[in-house]
Amino acid sequence: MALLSNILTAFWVLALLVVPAIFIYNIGKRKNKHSLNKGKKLVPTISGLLAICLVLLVVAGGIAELISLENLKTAQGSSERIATNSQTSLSVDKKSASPQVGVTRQNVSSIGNGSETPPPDQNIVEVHFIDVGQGDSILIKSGELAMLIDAGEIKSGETVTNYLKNTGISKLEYLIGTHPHTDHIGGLSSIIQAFDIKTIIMPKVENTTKTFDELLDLIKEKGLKITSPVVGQEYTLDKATFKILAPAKKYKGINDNSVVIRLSHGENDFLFTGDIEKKAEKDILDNTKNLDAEVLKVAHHGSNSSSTSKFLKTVKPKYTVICVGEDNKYKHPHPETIKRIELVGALIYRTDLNGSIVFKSDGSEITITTTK
Amino acid sequence: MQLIIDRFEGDYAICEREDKTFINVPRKQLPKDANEGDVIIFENGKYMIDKETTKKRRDAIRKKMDELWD
Repeated sequence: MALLSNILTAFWVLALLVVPAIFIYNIGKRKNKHSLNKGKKLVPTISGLLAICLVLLVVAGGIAELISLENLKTAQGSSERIATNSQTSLSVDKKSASPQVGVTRQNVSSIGNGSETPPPDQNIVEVHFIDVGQGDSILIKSGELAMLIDAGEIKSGETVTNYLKNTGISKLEYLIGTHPHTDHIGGLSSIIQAFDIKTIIMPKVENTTKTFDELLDLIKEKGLKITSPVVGQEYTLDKATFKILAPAKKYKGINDNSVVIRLSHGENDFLFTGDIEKKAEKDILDNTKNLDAEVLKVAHHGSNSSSTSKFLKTVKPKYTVICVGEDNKYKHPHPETIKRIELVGALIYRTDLNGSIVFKSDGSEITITTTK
Repeated sequence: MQLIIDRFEGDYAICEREDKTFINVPRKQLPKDANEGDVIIFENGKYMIDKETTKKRRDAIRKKMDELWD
């Protein structure tokens, strides 16, 4: 894009010099040779045509440049609309805010093809919010190790499997199924078939769907066990650690039983909330000392039944991510939730608008890449 | 036709068909005491909870869960 812009600028300058020169030359010729016969008038006519062609080229070049500028503006505009309050972010974290203008123009191929995988000794933690439509799936890479939280619906199983393979993943230290709803655990069977899993963490909460039933059958068939989340328990994933924050008790609704974890890497914290609603949020607020997080996975696809003002104010996120499908029937994310998030001054990323979203932490700063 | 309620989202119950595809049933068409995990059947023009099948499924799933969780 920069090269094209330079060529266009050079063309403009050249054209501005040449066109008047030709005109002056033509006028001069007409004055001197006015009395000459018709045949000789061909020379100035050809020059005039050349001049007109040049003018047309200049105009076309100008229009092309204007269009490219307009495209850039549109990209910036949409990025600002999604990632609201970008000024706040700029002052907070210059390095992470600046790529957001270009965020919507990132090339998909640069994500998940393994080419950007940092050497294992580098202190980098990546959090990938994989676009699975209406559902959740989050990959966390830390050094050489990886873990996955949810895998969307059954139909997303293949998408997530391919994404992980393309990112160079062959095994998972932890596989978390936040709660037994099919938009979270549907794709887990594909993952268990395709990768070696060390530890599966799921709440001991029942559902009777075939999807859940067959997942249990597969886990048994593979000779694996399931670990219940215990609030306060800490796990290590190479350079990062994560702590279980919920569920603290058994709730009636399946959503409130979601496993909630806070992942820490240096100065950066990420909060993953599954589909918790108001009741679980309140209990987390009551039971948790450190709840602040730079990045918050907005609970339950941005539903109004979650993300209370008190919860958001306590977490104080800089960035929020809503995992949500385009034109979903449930009208997620709800406008009331968006307003509450905007009120705490956080930027909003959405998988329906931004595609898969990747956060890279070096322990102090965060950079963000999107694929749409 | 047998359906299993996977979850509720707003005005809909997201139900799993026997072939693991899904259908959104308006909540108001379901009995008021319908819960996640209930097996429902469509008979005489309305949805009803198949309590017997629901209990059987819940018991079977609980048994499997007890074997798998640490």
